[in-house]
Amino acid sequence: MRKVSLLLITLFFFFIMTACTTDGKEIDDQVYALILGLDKGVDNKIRLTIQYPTYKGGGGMQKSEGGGEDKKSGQIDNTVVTTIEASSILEGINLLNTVTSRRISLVHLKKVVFSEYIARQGIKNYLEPLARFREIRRITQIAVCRGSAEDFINENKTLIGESISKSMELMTSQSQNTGYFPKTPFETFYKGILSPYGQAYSTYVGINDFKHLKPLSEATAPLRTEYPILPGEIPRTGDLARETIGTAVFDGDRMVGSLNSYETRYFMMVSGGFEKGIFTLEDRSMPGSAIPFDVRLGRKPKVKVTFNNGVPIIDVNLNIEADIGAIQSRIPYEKLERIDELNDLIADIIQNGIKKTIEKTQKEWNTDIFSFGYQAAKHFFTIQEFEKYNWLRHYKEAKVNVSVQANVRRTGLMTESAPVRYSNQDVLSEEK
Amino acid sequence: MRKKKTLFQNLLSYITYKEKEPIKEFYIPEINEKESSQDQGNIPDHTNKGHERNRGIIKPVPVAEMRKEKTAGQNQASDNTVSTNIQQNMDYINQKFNAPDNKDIIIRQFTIAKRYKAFIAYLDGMVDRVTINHFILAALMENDDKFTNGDESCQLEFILLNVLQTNQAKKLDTPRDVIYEILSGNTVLYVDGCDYYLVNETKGYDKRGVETPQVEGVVLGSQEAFNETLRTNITLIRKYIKNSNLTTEFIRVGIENQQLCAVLSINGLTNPAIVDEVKRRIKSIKSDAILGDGMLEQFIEDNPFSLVPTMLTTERPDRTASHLLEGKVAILVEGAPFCKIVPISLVSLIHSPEDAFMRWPYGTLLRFVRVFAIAISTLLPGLYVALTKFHQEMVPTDLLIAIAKAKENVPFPTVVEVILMELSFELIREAGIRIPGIIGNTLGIIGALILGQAAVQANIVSPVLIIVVAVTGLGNFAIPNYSLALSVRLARFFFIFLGALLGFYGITIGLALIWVSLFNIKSFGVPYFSPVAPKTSRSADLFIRYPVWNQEYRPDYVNALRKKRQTKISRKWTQQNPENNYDREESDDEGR
Repeated sequence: MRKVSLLLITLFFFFIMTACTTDGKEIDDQVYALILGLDKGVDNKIRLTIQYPTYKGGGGMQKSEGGGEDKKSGQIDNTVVTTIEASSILEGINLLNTVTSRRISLVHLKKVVFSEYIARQGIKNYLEPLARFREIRRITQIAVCRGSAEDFINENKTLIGESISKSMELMTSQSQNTGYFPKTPFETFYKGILSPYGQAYSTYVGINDFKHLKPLSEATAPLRTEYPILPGEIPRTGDLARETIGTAVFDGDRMVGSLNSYETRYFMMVSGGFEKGIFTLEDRSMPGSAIPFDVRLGRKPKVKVTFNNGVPIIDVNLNIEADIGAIQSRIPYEKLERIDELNDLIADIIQNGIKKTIEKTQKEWNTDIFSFGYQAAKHFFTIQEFEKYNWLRHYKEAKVNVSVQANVRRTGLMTESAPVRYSNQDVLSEEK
Repeated sequence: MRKKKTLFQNLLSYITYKEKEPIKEFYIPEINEKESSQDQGNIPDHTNKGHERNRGIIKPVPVAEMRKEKTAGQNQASDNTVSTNIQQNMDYINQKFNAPDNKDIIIRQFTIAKRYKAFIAYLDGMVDRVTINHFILAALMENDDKFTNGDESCQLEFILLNVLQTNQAKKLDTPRDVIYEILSGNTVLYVDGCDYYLVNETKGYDKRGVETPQVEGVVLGSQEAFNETLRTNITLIRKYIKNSNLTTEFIRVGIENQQLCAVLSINGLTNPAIVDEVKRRIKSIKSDAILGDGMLEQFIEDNPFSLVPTMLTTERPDRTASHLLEGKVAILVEGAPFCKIVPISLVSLIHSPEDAFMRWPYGTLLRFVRVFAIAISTLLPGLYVALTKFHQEMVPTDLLIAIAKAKENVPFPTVVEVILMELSFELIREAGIRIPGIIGNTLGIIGALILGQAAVQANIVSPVLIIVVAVTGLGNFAIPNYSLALSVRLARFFFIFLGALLGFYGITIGLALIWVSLFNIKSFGVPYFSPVAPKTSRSADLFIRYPVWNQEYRPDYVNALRKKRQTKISRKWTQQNPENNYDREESDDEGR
C-alpha cells in the first residue's frame, strides 16, 4: 500500500511540476510547413511564403489553381501556399495562424529559400531566428533563388507522386547523382557564415521560363562540353519550372556570386562532397565526337596548405576514377596501351577546371568556400593567432597547385567498339 | 502508540530518508559439495529454527471435539484412538461424515468366516467398485476355510497377510488419518476387536487422461501435459527423471479441504534450504481452503504486490523435469494441472521448453524474438501516443502526413483512440476464452478484423492505430509465460498513460520505475534479474543459448549441491578415433 501511494505521489508530482503535459499537441492539430521562402517586403521587412500539405483524403485531388480574389494563396498539388508580409519570420508565421485555423509547425521544414536580392543584401537577420527557434531542424536545406522565393514556391509541385515532401527530399539527394549542386543543410551554412576557416555557400535554385530551348532547325550544332548552366537556363521544356543547379557563393552573410554547373562539380570534388556525375569530354583524336565518363572520386581529396615567406601555398591532390560511358569515335581506347590517353584527357580537363574555379573564387570574390582555412590553421599555435592573421582576407594571395590523377576503371559492357559496316566499305576483322 | 500524523508529515515521510527496518529475508546458502555428501540432512541454522518453531505449534482442537468426554480410552473412539468396539468405530465414522444426512459415505457390514464382525467404509464414487467387490469383499467372505485357528483376538494382521488381494494395504491406528484416507478414495476395513484399521488402495474416481498442453504448445518437443491427478502428474515427472533421489514430500494444505500438495526435489542435488523454505511456507499457511496451485502461489510468493510472477507455472512434465534437474523445487497440488517451480529469475520466464530441443542457433533466434515481443507489447502503444502527441519531428514527414490525413475525420485525441482500441482488443480476448468451442476460435480473428475495419470506416480510430494495436497483441501472444503476458498487458496501460501525459520523458520515468521495482523483487531468495544483476558467473543459457554440450554448469543462483552438469568434454567421442577410420588424403577427392 505504502509503495503504491508513493508511486502515485511521485507521478502526481511529475504531473504538476513539469509543463510537458500542456505541450502535447495532436498531429492533426498542426500543419507542417515544408518550405519557407523569404523575400524583401514592400510594406514591411519580410515577405514570407510557406507551403504546407493539406489533409484531404489521399489520391483523386485535382490541381486547383489559386482562389479568385487572392491569387497568391491557393492549392498546389495537395498543398497550400500562402504569402504574408510581416516584421519578422516568427511573427509572420504566427500571423498566418489567423488564416490557417491550425498551428503552423516548423518541425518538418525541409527547405528555406532566400531570394537572391535579400541574399545579396545580407541575411544574418533572417538566420538569427532560424538558429534560435527550437522547431527548426539543423538538416533544413538552405537555398538561394534566382528571382523571388515566392515564385519558386508557387512552382514547387510534384508531378510524379502525390507527396511533395518526398519529392523535395529526393530532389536534394540528386546532388549525389549529378554533382550539379551541393547539399547545404542549415548547420553547414550557418557554420560557414561564422567560421574563420572558410566561407558559406548554398544551393542555387531558380525558375525556368522554357525559352532557352530553341526551335528545331537543320543547322549542325557544335559539341559544347563543360556547358556552363545557371538555374533557369537549362534548355528544356516540360516537367516543372523549378530547377536546382549551381552554387551561391557567400562572403560573410552576403551573396557575392555564383558557380555554374561545372564549376560546382569542381568545387565539390575539392571539398569532398562529389559522389558521381557524368562528364562529357571531347575526343582529342576526333574533335566533334564525345566521350561521356561516369566520374567519381577515387580517394578523399588531399589538401595541404603550407606557407612560403608568408604566402600560403595550397596543394590539392585528387584521385579521380572514371567509367567509360561511350566512345563515339569507336577508337579502341580500352586497350591497355591507349587507356592512358583517356586518363590524361580526364586529368587535364579536371585539373584545368579546378584551377579555374579556385582562381575564380580568389580573384572575383576572395571567398574560401572550399574551407582551405582548416588546413592553414595547422600552422598557427593558437586560434587567436589564426584569427589575427585572418585567413579569409589572405585567401586571394594563395598560390594554388592542383594535381589530378585519373584512372579509367571500367569500360562498361564492351571491351572494344566493333566498326560499323557500310555497303560501300570493306571491314576485315583482325587476325589473332 | 503512535501519534496521528498530519497530512504534511505524511507527505514529508514519503520523500525523506528513514532507516530501514531490518527484515529477515530468506537466502539460499552456498553448501560445499563435500560437506553435503557427508551430511545431507544438514540444514542451515536459520531455517532449522523456523522449522522447530513450526513443530511447536499445537494444532487447534475443533470445539465439537473439546466437549467430548475423554473416558475409558480403549473403548471410546476418538480422534486419537481407535476403539476395539465395532459399533463405536462405525458411529465415529458416521458422525465424522454426517451420516445419515450425508449419503456419500458407505459403511458395509459383514461377517468374516461367519464369526468376525467387520465393516468396510468408503466414499461412493471415489472408489473402484471392481476392486472392492472382487478383491476385498469376495476375498474376505469366500475364504472361510483359511480361518482355522478359531482365535477370538484381532484377525486384521492375519487378513492383511493372507486374505486381502489389494495391491496396497497398510495399518492405521489414528482415526484422523483414517478419515483422510477415506476422503482420498481409499477403503478402510475394520474387524471387531482390533484397535487399528486396514487401509486399501482403491482410488477409482473419474479423471482426465494425459492430453496435449493447452497453454505451452511447442512444435518440437513432447506433447503431453499434466492433468488434475496428483499421482499421474508425479508419475509423468518420474518418467523423465529415473532417479531414486527424486523425492516427493506431501503436505496437506487448507484447514477445511485438506488438499494434498507435493513438493518435489532431487535429494543430493537441490539445495536443502530451498526445500525446507518451501515446506516451511506451505506448512505455515492457515487458511480455509486452497483449491489449486494458483491459490497456493499467492500464499507463498515473496512479493505479493509485484507486477510480475515470481514463480514459474508450467503444465509440461518435461519442463518441470528440466528445472528439477537444474536444482529447483517443483510444487504440485492435487486437482490442478499445473506445476509451480521455484526459485526462478526473469529469464526463465522468457525461455520456452522448445529452446532446448532445437539446435542452438534456432533456439537463440526465438529467444531474441521473444525479448523483442515483450518490448513491443509493453511499449508500442505508449510510444505511439508519445510520438503523435509530443514528438512529431521524429516521424518521417510522409508518414506524419499520412497519419494526419487518416486522423482528419476522427473526433478523438490519440489517447482515447488507443485506449478504446486496446480495451476492445482485451474484450475480444476475454470473450474468446469464454465463448464455447469453435465459435471462440473464429471470434478472435473475425472480431479483430471486423471491429478494426468497421472502427476505421466509422472514423472512430485511425488505421495506423489498428496496426499498432494488432502488432502489440501479436507481441503479447508471443510471450511464452501466461502470467508474464498478463503483467505486460497491465504495464502497457501504464505506459499509454505516461506517454499521453509526459511523452518520451514519461515513458523513461515509467521504465525506470518498473526497472527499479523489478530489481527489487526476489523469488525464494533469488534476485529476479540474476545472473545479470547481481552479476554472478556467466550463464550458458541466458539469452544466447549455447549448444547443450557447452552448458556445463547449473544456474549459479540456485546454489545447487552439484554445480556441474557435465564434464568439460561431454562429447567423449570427439576425442576418440572411430572404429572404422582412415586418413584422409588428397587423392580422395579425385574423380569427384
